[in-house]
Amino acid sequence: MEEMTITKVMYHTQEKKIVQLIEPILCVRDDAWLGEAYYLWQDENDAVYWGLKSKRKTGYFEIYNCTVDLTDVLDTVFNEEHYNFWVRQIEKAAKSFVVKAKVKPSLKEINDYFFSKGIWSKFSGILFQDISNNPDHFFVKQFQYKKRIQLAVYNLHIISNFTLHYEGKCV
Amino acid sequence: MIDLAKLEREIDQLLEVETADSLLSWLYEKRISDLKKRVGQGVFDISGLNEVYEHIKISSKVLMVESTSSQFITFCDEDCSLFIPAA
Repeated sequence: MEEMTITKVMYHTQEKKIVQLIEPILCVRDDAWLGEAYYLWQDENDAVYWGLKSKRKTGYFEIYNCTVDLTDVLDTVFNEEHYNFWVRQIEKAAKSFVVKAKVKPSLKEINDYFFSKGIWSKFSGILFQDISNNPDHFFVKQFQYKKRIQLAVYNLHIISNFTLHYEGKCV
Repeated sequence: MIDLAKLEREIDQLLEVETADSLLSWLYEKRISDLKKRVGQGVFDISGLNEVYEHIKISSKVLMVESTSSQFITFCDEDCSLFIPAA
């Protein structure tokens, strides 16, 4: 049976630069939870908020949109089997480091570990959610009812139609 | 479609053969490599800051030097020459 392709439009935020990007920039930040990857937002609103808050160096930010093939993505947000798998592997690795080596690695390091050992490279990315400070996520009093969802892309080939979508001023 | 069962078997086999030395060695190389990507490679004088640091020594190498005051997170290579402020 032929496998169905699932695609989605997602967003990439960067500081405005002299030259327009033709592909996303690889994130190597220490707090990049899922390791070195191309990070995309599912919700345009989160992409804008990220530009306003974290991409302020040049005073302007840019949001690019692109089409992403999610067929080989580990979906820890909506797929329960994927989520349970991901939690198990993270905990197993963390336990190995803590019990055997007596050190506690960060989540980024665990993900980088799996990637360097050729495990995470068996899929093209990880869809995940975290907690946002975006006031839009607190539209309901004291309850963050909305998921902030990002995709960490390991394989650039799943991204197509990468285009400048929006330019904003950091206020 | 991702074959989760196969991946999990590979992970179990991988972690099974890991030892304290192999995990620490991987982590050490990773932290030094990440640090060099962020700040470049250089020699920094941290002699005046020694008193606020805790040293974690692994196999006679300094794996990580972490500030007790949370003002700095410091990583050192074998000649203890790299540091960065905490994020």
